[in-house]
Amino acid sequence: MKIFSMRRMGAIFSKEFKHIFRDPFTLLMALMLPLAIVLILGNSIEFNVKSINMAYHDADRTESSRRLLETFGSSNYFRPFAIDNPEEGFAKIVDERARVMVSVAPDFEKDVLGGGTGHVQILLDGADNSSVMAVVNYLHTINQKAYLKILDIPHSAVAQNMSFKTRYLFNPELNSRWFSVPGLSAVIIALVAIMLTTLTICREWERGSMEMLLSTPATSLEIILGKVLPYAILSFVGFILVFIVARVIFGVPFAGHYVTLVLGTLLFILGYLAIGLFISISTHKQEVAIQFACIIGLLPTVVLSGFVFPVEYMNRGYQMFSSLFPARFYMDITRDQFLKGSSIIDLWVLFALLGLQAFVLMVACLGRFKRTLE
Amino acid sequence: MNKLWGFFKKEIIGLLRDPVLLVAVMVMPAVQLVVLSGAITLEAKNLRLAVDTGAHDVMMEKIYNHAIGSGWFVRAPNTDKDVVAAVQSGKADVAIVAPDGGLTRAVMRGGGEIQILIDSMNILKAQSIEAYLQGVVVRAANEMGYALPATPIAFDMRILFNPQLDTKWFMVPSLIAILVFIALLVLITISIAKEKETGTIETLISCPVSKYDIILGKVVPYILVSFLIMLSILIIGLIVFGLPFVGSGLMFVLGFLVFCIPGTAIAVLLANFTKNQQQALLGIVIVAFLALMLSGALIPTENMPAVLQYISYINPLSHYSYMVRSIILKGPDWSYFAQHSLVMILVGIVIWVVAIKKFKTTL
Repeated sequence: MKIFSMRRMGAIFSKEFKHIFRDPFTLLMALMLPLAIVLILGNSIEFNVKSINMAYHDADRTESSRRLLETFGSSNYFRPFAIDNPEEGFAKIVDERARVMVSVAPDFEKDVLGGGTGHVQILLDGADNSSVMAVVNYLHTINQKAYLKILDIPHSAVAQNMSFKTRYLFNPELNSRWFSVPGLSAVIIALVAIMLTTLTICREWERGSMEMLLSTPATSLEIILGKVLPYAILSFVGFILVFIVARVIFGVPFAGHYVTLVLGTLLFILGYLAIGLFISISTHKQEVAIQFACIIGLLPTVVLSGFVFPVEYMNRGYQMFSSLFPARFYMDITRDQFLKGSSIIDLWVLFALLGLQAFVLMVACLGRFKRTLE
Repeated sequence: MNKLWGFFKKEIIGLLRDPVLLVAVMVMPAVQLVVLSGAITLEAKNLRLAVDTGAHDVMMEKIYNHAIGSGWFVRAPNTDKDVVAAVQSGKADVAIVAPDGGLTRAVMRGGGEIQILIDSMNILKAQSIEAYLQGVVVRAANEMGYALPATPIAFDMRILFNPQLDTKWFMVPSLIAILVFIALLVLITISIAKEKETGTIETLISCPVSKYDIILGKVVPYILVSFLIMLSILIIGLIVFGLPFVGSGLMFVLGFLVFCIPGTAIAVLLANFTKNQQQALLGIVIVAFLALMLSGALIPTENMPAVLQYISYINPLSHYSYMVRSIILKGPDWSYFAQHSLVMILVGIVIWVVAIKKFKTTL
């Protein structure tokens, strides 16, 4: 008997494919779910900090204090609204109606123009540090700008000594969609891939059809490949749909090469299908597999992949841990291919790691599967 | 009541019978909380900086030393020659380029423009790089007396509730809310979908119990399980990450019960649409992912388009995660609690009405 027969694998492949087509709901979900998620969320994820609710109280009521508050208002960071007294500002922050409270002390103008120090109290809601962190970094600049505004000095007159010009490469306008759509696609394709294969093996055990499959001459390798390939095709079709949406509807540029992106995507999909399959092989109960699929799939894929939180900021230990998930490397590849377009040679490390992951995971599946049979 | 107790025993025994399942349900949420909260930080670190400090440019050297000293930046290796190319090829995240002839000379002549080149493939990183770097340059310039005029305005800044701006304090409450939601959703949806798949739902329907009994019997045991999960992850979160618990314990427990109204309703509704566990699993993913992204628990919702802000407003998870965060860090009063609870209860009732209507007790 041959060790690997294309015909036998093909038989399992077509059996699995029939399963998929017999359940149109699953088929529809697998294809439409990534599409729907990208369409709904592609527009919504806005990483630029702006329009933070800011309560202000002006006890000075002078031209200077007005200009100071104007500087806050014109910065795009804040959406200012007035309150009657500073205590109310505290309550607003507790109630989450404001994230920032700015309160100008009485005699502000007198102090600033008279050579003293004008006091401004600022309260920040540290409980939501995703937006407040940016504000803290920005306060210094606001202070400078406000003073110049009070003195009526145009900013350029002072800045001639030393000034900055910042240029952003690859995403010059810091377009949030260009950033979030490729990342979102990667996350959602990974999720669907895990969820598709995580039940394939244990379902057969639960229903008792596994014994039948095992009594055929098909080898473990043929069974595993026959189970993975249909879902790989399905996931890849999902990827193509998402790619079209990203390009056509969200206008994300594509600077890379199709071959590079497709190769990366295939390795990535294979890695996640293998994770799902590994869960499926490790248990004979669908219930257990679902629990583990959600534990391994849902949050870690979102949190540890660099989709929202940059991996580089994490401690070394966590960086290593996030490397266990193929999404971390694919995230770099897909963002690069959309916006930058490096050649596959420049990205060889990422590709090697992604390929290694897929290979190790598939081998692990095979080994585990053989062991459960014994 | 007797009927409910029967259901209760049936569901709990099912859970206790399988030790692997029990570990997955009861222990893994705590592991996730610790691992994920520990991993996430919004504080920039390890940003690779390339600076051309050639030609005895004292000022550039100063800026560079300040940048490395700040702890945010590290030197990008082998990028001394062409810093612009270093960013283009991805060897560095950011490059500082001095004007021709060096920054020191340019400033002495009366005007030096520093060019900052940032890789913005990751816009989150790009933005923090700009903010951090401006701060670094201003500080370096201050030290050398080339600064903007010193302002007489003093910002007396106080950061409330999380004085160190520790991201973990923000993440732990969010993750508690998310994990509770996922637990409710997965346990209830799968429990119903499993009975549908194996056909045992028919046995249940043929029993002399009403459809309300069946629904309650499916929901109540898992509310209890989720409550235990929530308690365990709360305690572990508080101990491991040293969070304070400022608010009222009673409010925390009531908040959980209020959230269970829409939380379980979503699970039952989802179960109505699914025939087997595979469908249920895909359904769980779409619901959990959308709820998560539109909740403000990970990503702020304030800047979303209006339509999605409305969705986020009726999203029970967003109210619950705000409530959990507020109770743990701020200690809100009961009127705050009432506002969020009201929305959750209303949304919950609407979903329950649909879910019960759709729940079939005929074959």
